[in-house]
Amino acid sequence: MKAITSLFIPGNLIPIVAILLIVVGIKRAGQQPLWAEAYRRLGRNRAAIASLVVIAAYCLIAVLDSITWKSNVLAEPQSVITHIFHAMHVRSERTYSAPFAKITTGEPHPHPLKGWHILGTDGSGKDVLLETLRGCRTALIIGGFTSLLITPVAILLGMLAGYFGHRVDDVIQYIYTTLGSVPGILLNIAFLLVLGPGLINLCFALGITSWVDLCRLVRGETLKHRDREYVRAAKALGVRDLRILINHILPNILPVVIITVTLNFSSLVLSETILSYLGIGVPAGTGSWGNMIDAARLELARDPVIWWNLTAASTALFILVLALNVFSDALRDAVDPRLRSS
Amino acid sequence: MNHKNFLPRTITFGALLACLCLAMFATGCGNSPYPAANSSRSILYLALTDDVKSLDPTIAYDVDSGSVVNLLYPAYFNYDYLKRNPLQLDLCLGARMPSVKPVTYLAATPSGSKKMVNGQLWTFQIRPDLRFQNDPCFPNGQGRQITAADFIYSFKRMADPSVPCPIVAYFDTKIEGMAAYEAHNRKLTDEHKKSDYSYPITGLQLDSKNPYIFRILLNHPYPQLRYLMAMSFTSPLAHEAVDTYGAHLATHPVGCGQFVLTKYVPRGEIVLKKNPNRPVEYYPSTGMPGDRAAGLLADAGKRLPLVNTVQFNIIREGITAWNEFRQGYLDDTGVSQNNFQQAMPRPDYLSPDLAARGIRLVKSVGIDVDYYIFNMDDPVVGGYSARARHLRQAISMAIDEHEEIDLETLGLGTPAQWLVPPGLFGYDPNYTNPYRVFNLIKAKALLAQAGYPNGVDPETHRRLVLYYDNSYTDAAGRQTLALHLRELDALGIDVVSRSFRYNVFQDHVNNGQFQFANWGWVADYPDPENFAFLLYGPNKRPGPNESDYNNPEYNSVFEQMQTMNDTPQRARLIAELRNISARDCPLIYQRHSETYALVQPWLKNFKPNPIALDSPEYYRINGQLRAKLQNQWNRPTVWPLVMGVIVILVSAVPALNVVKRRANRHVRRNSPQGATGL
Repeated sequence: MKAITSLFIPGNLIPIVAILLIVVGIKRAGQQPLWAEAYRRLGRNRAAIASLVVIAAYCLIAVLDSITWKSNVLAEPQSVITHIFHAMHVRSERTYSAPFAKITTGEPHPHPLKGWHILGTDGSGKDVLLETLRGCRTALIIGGFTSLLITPVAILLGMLAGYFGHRVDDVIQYIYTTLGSVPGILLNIAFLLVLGPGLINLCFALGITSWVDLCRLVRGETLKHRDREYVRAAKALGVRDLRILINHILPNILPVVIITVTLNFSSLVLSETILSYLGIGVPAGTGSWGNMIDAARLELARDPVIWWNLTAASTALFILVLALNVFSDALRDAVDPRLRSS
Repeated sequence: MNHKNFLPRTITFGALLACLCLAMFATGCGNSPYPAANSSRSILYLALTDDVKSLDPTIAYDVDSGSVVNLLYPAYFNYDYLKRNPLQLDLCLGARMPSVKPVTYLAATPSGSKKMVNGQLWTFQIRPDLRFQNDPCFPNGQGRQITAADFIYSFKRMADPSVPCPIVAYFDTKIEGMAAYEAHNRKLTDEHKKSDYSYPITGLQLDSKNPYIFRILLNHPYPQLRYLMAMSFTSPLAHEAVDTYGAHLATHPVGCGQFVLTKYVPRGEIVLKKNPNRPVEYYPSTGMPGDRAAGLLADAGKRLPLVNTVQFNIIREGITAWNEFRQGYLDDTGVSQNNFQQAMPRPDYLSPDLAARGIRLVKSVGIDVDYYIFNMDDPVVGGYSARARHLRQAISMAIDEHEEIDLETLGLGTPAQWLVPPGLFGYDPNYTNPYRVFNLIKAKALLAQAGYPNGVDPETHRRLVLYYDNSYTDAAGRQTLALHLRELDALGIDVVSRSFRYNVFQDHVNNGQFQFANWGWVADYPDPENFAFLLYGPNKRPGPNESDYNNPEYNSVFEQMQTMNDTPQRARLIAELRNISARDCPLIYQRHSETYALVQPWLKNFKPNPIALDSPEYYRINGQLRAKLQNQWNRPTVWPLVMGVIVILVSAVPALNVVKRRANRHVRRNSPQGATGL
């Protein structure tokens, strides 16, 4: 028992709880007529189902990479994926090796490899397949956690601005217009220099610039709903503003918010890649497609060309972003009543 | 839209586009970054890896800045262009070798009392034919004659606290009265007043009879002064230029070298042209064995410089520089990790492709050392207890330098056993540092002796955690870092990397805010003292002894060694220093660099020098050959464009069909028959 306790990593609860919350949320939403209809429509869309399967696979890999345990008290915690690779005798090599190669490359005297590597190894001898899979966790944390940060802020400010108008609207508009007028990448760099490198800090830095569009959209939607009859009727019956916002307007704008957040998700994943490429993304040691693509700057100029690192990272990124975009489009088609009527 | 006209319009547009492309080729749209006529001119095209930090000779200290500054600001001495092993000093602005005589004098101490000092008096005589370059800061824009006072002015400016001279520490403890001058001016600076250059420095004296003679009084013998007199810091400086341009001297140099700055585009290019007032210097007539056969004496006795213009292109991306070199638009380039295997399929062997072009591969050994540094003030890794010493020794033995050289520098470099690099007096090729032999088993045993069995800290019952500061923030750096972490992980300790941008990292090291870091030293002058002083206690931070190592035994031996000439006794003292510091292990020595350069066939007289940066003065360009080869190597490759056009046209056919079909459908739907369903 003592051994088990000492090997327990509290951080493992986070991905499990997150997944449970997502599943419960999806299930409960399905009980509402709007979402039940949307699920039905999504179920008929083959591209959406395929995309969902791909996204689910990425999520599964990310969860497996987030659950860690120690093989002994002194050992560093390793993720499930790393343990699986170790069990398959995939070991670190000295340096680069091509897919399925038997010797290293990129050093004056090639050395025999300890094992075989489907996608080869990178400059520090790490298995490229393992590194690519580890990039899923980073990408999904960046997309997921940043969305989690920005969505409540954007909804709150957008609804307040749209509903109350006047000075509240002016102040909120001023804030997001000011933020929006500064190039996002510069703001991200500035915040990362202040906050320091790190995955969570990167989410905060991306969050600073990403809430503006959503806030603007929510404001517009709220403005539209504010003058609708059902809101006027609620006001006439003496319902308080806060209750109108939460109980009447929010449910009506939520589909638009969900679609926008899903569409933004892929942009955030790409932003991480761009910032890592610029050398200010996630720190070294964290699996990241951006870092892998950044390394390829040097690798493509080598002879023989080290192509496998770039190919693996780009392909993984491409598939995830494509799946997210296709699914977002399908979700919009399924949920947006205007599109449905057309 | 008139759908009937859509297809003909598209075809017309495509034809126009094709004509435009052809017109671009017809007008000779090339890839040369320079005007076409420049290829055959006597212009040297070189690359800098980054923008210059300053062109002020009192401040510039990095290689990129030095590469330009050395051509603008010569000094009393320079290094013989061809002589090696040892490098030899020649007179440059000096008229004769300085005379050195021992002197004993009464010097004031900081407490106000007097004490007898056994010092040295150096007498320098400069050439009478020297003039500054023409510049508006002088009357009528004509550069005035240079006198000994201009050299003294340079020294005073170095000690001006408002000017961040990086090597002032070399002088202020040695030249009599320089520290007092610095203190006086520091007081003025603190009161926001201008520095007082009229304040006398006892150790810097002008000759009352001869304006070309000055003397330097040292408070102890310091033979290395001759090397410092070859650095741009000691180049004569015109007070008119400093008064006129102030801080802008960093971008508006006023020197007396072979070249003058004519164009400076920050992050773009730096253009130097032959100085009409340049000092008379000639290409050397003697060299090393083999130099004549290599054609390095073909220009013997010719007046320098041998090119009219030097253009430095600031190219930060190694790949871009490599491509420009391959296209013939750079006259030389280094071999780096980026292009190593394209340039050299195996060590010392030039690729057949480059060899066929007449490109030469030139190897050089750097006078430098890379090392890991422990902060000796740190409670875990620092100190002189047996525990701390064993811990440092254990880490040292866990680092496999041969693997690092193979993977980081592709086999280039010599594993370092101590500070002094090959080629310098005191380097012993047979010496092996007992703690720089890779032996993981012994390293783990030493770690246990240090009180960390299996790497576990007995106090916390967890693995020992060390913090490793570095500047590995780019892609190549991250690979290097991963290798370092892998090596230390094998020892059983946890190492947390703290990577910062270089200037932040440098500040951390200079301020002692580190535990364990990666550092290095490039020689200022070819003397072992310039390396052994990295562990001399009084040179502690912010001096060059960044580890703050302070062993009285080492200090005492160093003080004896530093003032000696190269004798067997000096070699014995150097060996003693080596043994003392090897036992204490304040540094983990990595490697002495080896570099390769690639040289275009039209660039003549190329011979790398590990210290001097004035080589472009000696280079010659065969412009005719360059123009011819550039033309051959850069013929336009048309087939990708043709293929591209064909692919676009072919892929456009289905699209055009779709448009045509839709147009027809639209016409049918809108026609009376279509509307009625007929």
